[in-house]
Amino acid sequence: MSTRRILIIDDEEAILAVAKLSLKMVAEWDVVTATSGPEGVIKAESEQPEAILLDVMMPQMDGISTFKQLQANAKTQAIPVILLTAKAQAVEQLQYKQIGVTGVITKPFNSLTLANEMAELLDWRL
Amino acid sequence: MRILLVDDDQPLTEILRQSLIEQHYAIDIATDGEAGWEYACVFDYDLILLDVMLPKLDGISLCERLRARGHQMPILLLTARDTSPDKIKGLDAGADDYMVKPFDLEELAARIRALLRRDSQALPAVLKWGQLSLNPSTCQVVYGDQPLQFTPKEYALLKLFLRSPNRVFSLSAIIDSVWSAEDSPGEDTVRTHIKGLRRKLKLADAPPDLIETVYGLGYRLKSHPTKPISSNSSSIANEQTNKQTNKQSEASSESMPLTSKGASKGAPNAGPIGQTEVLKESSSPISKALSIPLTKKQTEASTAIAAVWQQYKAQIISRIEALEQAIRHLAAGQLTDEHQQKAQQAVHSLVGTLGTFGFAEGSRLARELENHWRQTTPLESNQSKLFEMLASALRQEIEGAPTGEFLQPTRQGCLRLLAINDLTLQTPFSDIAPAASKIHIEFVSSLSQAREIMDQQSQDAVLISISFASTGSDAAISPSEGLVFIQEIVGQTPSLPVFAVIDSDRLADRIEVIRHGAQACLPQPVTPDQIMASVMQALGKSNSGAKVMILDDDPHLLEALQILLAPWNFKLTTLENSTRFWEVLMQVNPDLLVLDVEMPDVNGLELCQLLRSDPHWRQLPVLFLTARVDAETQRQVFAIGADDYMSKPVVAAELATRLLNRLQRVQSLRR
Repeated sequence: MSTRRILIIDDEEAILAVAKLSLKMVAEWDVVTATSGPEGVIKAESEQPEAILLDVMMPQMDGISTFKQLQANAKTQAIPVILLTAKAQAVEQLQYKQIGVTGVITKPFNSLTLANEMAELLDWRL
Repeated sequence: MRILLVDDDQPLTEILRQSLIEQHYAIDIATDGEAGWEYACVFDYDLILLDVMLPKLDGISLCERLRARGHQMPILLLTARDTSPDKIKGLDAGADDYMVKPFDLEELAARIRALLRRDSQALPAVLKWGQLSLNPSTCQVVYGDQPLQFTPKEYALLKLFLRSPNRVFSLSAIIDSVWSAEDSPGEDTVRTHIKGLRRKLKLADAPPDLIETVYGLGYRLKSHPTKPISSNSSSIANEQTNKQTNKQSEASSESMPLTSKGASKGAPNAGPIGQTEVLKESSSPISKALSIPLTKKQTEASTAIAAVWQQYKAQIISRIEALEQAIRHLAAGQLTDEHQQKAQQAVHSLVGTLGTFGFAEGSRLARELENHWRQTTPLESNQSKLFEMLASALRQEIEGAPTGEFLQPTRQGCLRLLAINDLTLQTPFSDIAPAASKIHIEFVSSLSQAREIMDQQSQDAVLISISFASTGSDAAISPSEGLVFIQEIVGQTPSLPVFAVIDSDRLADRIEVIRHGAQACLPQPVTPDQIMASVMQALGKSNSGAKVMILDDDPHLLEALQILLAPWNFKLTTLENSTRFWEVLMQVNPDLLVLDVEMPDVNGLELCQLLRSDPHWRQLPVLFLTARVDAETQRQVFAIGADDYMSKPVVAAELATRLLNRLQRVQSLRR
């Protein structure tokens, strides 16, 4: 099986670094990163990841707008998206589900089990 | 601690009795297997010393019988036979340990201590409460560095309370635990001993109310002190911060399972549970259920993350500096919107980054700060002291390498319970095993923290302790605050089950709580099991409520039981008229039967005897509820095959526990 590729979009570089490291080491996934929504949309198209981990709170373009752009693009609309959010109120979670995100992981996440959580949401086997 | 010794070797029993009494245990001696069985059925023992070769019923069979009946106390076998098959047979019969005669008394004492520790879910070797420590192996009690002298009974009492923090002991429970059957004292004697104990604590400058009176119920160990001795200055802000930090670190030890180090970091005086005790708690069911051992890859990742930390440390510290600067401006009354916004951004980002790096406590501190900064009301300069404390705690947290503590992830299929100002579930030695693997419990001490957590994370259930007896001076949540809160959260999420633990027996208070939207009202004292049973029930995660049938000729009692037992969701059938007993019994087919002894048309004991002779009802668990407290009735009750016995007046929580225990045992036997 070829290595799975993941795109992480987050404006916080420290978080990108940790998540990347963790997913690489724990799940042996190939990780590409983007520090903003617009960069993320471009990389999603060019890198064609199997899943996207997307931060909700970002300056410029927030996670929801980014997600909508990804959905509007035929080349990226099929890629499952997991939102990274500090606010995971039931109501909001439901809204996220309704707009079509695959799942939500709350921040701060547990770096060591991040891969497991993602795999569970994506129905992947680790 | 009460021990049953079953041995027919009289010289040996005499020596053992002496030795055990010297170690302040209460001892009962049975000289044959049948007598041992009877003793064990009537009294609650903390441990049984059991000879293998016994008249009437041998030790192995007795051990098997005890286990089959659900008795879970540790059993230590004593035997002259030193061969492997014998040992294996003994251990397979359910014994916990084995000693070959002749044995060394010191070794036996040590093994007994070890077994008693194990029984209490990994109690630490030394019991601690703030600065007070009791060492069971040397029988020494020290407060600070001052040794305290107690009489044997005072010592035994103190040990009893220290072993079960938060448990309320009725006078009879104390007598059962501390005195042996033959020198069972009157209740006044117990009170006198407690007075003596308190007086000596006071003389040593230890808090005399360490043993609290719970009005109408009994006594318990005072819960969760803040710093036992505060060093010098103690401004209000100071104390608050300490309290919060302590609570936080306790909470974090529960919810940050992936580590074994640094659980109490940043809070050197972490309340009654000293650091060692928190760490030793790993075998408690909840932490066991949550402590998923790291895989090799995760361990490697953890090391790598710690290395990456060095690259980002300066950046993180600059955020703390931005925060500290804003705090200084606040203290000087010169906080501008820009400063405030900057600080708010800084703490928000700290919450996420610190958590991601494995500084769980740091992340929590940042979250607490964020919560304060986000307040809608303008910040006051006098709040700066509190912020300073938090910021400096935050700095301390990140000084070293990441602790490797990660916040509990949002697990799919894992239920989230938010416990507000609750001490029952938080008791570290509590056994909430059945639910623990499926429930993640987050503890908070205030409503504002609760709101904050609920903003960030949806909850499956909320547990809130409300104090009707509160004087308003302590951290307790008053009815007015608590009820408004319940109404508010239920208004937002009508499907959210809210459980209120209240310290009032008044019906009016309970109705008030329910009226504000709580799903159930659990009166104190309540055990973790009872809470979890209610929660699981409400979440539809447990089997439908067990069918409990109660026969009693007192309609008022039946009515009261309906109300009192409501929180536990039993399917209750109450029957006043004993002539309809068989008819209703057939109809209901209960899982458990509660009987009165004396009723107008029929005697409960005779009914029980009839049930025991009927093949269909032989196995039905029967609990007697009676006003008669004499030893003869007790003996009769068990002799005719009843499973449990409780005297009136009824304490709801105790009755519920007994019912749950009994049902649990029946279930485990069926399995």
